[in-house]
Amino acid sequence: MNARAERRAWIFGTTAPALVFLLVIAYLPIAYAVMLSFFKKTAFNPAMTWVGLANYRYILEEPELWNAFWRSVVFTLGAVGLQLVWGLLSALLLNRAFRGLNFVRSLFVLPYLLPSIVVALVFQWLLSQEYGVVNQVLMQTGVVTRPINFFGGLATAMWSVIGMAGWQYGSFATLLILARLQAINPKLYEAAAVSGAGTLRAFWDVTLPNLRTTLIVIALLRGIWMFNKFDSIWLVTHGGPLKATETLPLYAYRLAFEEFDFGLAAAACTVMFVVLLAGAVVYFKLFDPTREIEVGR
Amino acid sequence: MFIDRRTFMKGTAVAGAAVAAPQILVRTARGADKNKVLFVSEESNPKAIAVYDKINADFKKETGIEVVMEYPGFANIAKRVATLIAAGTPPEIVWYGAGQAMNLAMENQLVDVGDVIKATGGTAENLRMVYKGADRSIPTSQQFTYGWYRKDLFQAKGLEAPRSWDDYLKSAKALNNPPTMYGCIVPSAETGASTLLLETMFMKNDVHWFEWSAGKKEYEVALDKGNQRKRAIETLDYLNELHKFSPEASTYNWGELMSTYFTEKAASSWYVGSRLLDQTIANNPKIADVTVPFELPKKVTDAYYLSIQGFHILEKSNVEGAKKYVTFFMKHPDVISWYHAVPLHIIPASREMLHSAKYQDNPVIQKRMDVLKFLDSVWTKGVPLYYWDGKELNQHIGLYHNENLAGWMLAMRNIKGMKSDAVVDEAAAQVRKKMRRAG
Amino acid sequence: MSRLRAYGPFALLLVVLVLVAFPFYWMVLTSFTPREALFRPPYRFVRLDLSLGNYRELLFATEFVRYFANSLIAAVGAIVLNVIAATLAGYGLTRFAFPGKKTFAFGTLFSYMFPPMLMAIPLYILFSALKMRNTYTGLILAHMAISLPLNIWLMWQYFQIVPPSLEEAAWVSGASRLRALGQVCLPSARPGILSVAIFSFALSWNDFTFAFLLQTDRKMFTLPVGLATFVEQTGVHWGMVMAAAVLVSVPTFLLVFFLQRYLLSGLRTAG
Repeated sequence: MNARAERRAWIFGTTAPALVFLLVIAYLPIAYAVMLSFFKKTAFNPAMTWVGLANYRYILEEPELWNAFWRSVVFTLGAVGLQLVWGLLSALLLNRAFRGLNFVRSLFVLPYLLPSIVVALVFQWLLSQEYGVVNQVLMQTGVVTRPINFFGGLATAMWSVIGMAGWQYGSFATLLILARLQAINPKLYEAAAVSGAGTLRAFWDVTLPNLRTTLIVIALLRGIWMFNKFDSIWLVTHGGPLKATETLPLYAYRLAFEEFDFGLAAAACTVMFVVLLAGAVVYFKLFDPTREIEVGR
Repeated sequence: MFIDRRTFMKGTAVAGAAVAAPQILVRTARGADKNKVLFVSEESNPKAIAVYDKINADFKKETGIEVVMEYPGFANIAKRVATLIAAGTPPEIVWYGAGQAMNLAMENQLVDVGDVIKATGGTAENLRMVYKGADRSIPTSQQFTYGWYRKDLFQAKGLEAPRSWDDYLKSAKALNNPPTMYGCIVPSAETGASTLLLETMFMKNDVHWFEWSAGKKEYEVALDKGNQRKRAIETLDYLNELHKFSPEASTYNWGELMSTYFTEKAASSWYVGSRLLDQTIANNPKIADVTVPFELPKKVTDAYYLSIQGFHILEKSNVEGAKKYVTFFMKHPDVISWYHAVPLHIIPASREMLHSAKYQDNPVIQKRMDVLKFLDSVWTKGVPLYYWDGKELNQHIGLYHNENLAGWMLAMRNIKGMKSDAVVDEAAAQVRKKMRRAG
Repeated sequence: MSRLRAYGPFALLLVVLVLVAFPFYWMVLTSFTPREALFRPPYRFVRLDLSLGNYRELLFATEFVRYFANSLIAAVGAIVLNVIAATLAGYGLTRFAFPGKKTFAFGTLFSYMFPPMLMAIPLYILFSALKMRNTYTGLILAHMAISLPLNIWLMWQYFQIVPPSLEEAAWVSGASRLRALGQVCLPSARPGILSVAIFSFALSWNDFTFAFLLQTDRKMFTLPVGLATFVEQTGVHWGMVMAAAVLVSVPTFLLVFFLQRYLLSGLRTAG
């Protein structure tokens, strides 16, 4: 086989499996779902009828979609914000050599690797109004006089869900930031100290700029993940109480499986998708992650 | 610009394939297999599963038809059936509530099963589900909503089982000692449990969501009109009072109704059947003997929400095999064990069976004959939702029942604090809007 | 003042550690707490009356073991397919220049953004038609939809770090490209491959959405779905639920314990 054909075979052989998987498992369903949004398809009838933009008109006119969208935004900003703040603070605290650092690192990666159902159940148990140990402590220390209905209270549900997502993914952010922190050249800090900078100034001038990329990457990738999150929220509140935690993915789920209208659900999902698309375009314009990094960094 | 021609071509190809492929695939997937029956069942208790396995094995021996079971659980069964149908591969049989099956009937997905009913000994009039002139459900069992209370705790305060709305409120108040013990449980969430509570109490207060218009020959929304509105508001206000002696319950569904009771946090609870007793026996046997049923008190009527389960056979499936199977199942000697899987919870559709020695020959039933007597005493008062508003089958009940609109009303009243009249008006408006959309 | 400076960060660190670790502690403690004790809050933070009752009930009275097996099979399948596809793709992307490479990379990252909920419904319909519902194959493929994009990305970044000079040296001494790949490249990329394996495992083991919608037969439920439905049907029995949570987390703990190094280096490249 001549070199050219061999080269082509290599290119094909290495990229084809991944390409085929992605096309069939990811792209095809998405295309189908987008197409479905232009049809009326209820769950109990295999027939589909073309309705053009009627589904979109319906959901865009209803306040429910906009409410869900707003909640998605709140949840995403809250959860990502919490993860970043937590990640930064705890990474700074951990950024010193001490024994047991490895154990701590393992501990910090655990929440991320737990199934969402486990996190949901554990937090329901911890924050339960009747049986939760958190309420027990709050009552015993006199902070509150009546137990707080964390996941069931209109005012507290969204924050509790954000807190739970923060716990689940925050410590992961810690590890990423810590890794980057530990790669900062100590000479930079020495130089700052020599020119009279205090801790805060050093942080602003040396630490933050070096962390900038990491923080942005975390923010963007976590942002996408949180925007799309279905299982964590659904498992713990089912969107309640009174839809206080119904974000876009939960709204789409409700349309599909409780109102049994797949066409509407597909339209809601497509809206979600378009929002992400806009976000992705911004990310790529700012970043161009397809640019190859230098070898041997 | 990062979309080049190549990508565009690829994109179009994918989009084209996406449109074409499922249609082709769905078309080839249809066509029922004569030797298979897919049976989706709501009841997944291990003892019930054992009975299915035995009966299915016998059926295969006799007819060569293989029965494949699916147990999605009662919270998910409607979704499973929906997606099966959407994919063009409907199951042959679905066993669950007739109220839910009505959704299928209205989309013309259920076959006429009058012949099977005749072949298996007929059924009581109030258990039938008739759509477009034909029976669509083969009832096997029923469940009622009724209360459960701690006889020991009530007696300690000199109280008896509540007989009126005032009684219920008084006893809940007397036994309320938060956070150790609550007097009752009023779930106030957009869940099935909450919905059933309000719908049952509506029935006790003779509230109707719809009324039959003889002129237009159809049902119209009546919840926000005249006396219906007045009584609906009264019911909501009552449940709001009762809620003061209950946990906040803004996330409660069936599981919590049972667990809050058997962990001794509530002096009374309620359930749509005896599974609460079954779970109490399993989890906290020492209070099982003092767990006694009571009828949810009457206000204007003593009707209660009747939940009927049965077999439903779907169009475009192996209908012949399905009908053979259902007949075989109902006549099989082991069918009694199926009723005994969760004793006193899955109650036979036929009163004769309830009275029969064969049915009563079960240790749990023998130990708790008081529950059986209680069930017998309220036997005739149950009304399925779709016949509550009139003789004609009310096809619109799904509009408020499926999406837990009643639960929403309780949540708005008890958790959000919206006034009862506003809640009632808003609920009626929503039903009208849904009716318009359904067309 | 200086004491605050000296001990302040340490105290804060302790608070951080407690916040991260406490849920685990409580989960494990509850799983060993006898059922009776759980009916009566308030609960003690340290208890001596531990019992295995919850575990016994879980393992013998429910189908937990079967769900565990299903999850394991799906996860192993996902690991194998992911490693093969991602490693090959990563290699191809870094070692060759070809038209459409940038689009491919963009397309990969883009598919990471697809909401699982959006994909699940069509996948359901597709798999039903292909009779792949309630099969391990179907579930594994669905899991790949969420893990493959990230893994291709990972391996691509990883292979960028492995200098081509290593391979070129092998070619010079007569090895074919294939040989060089197997004997030189792969070993150097081992940390990346292990990271891919870990992520594939985690995403598959933890998936709820796809398993919930695609596996409708009880016998094929994975752990997250089994756990969720089991809680719904029997009234919440916290001791047993926490025991299940502990067991479900065990493979994760083991993974972290043994493969910590690779996991962390993987994190650094993946973000």
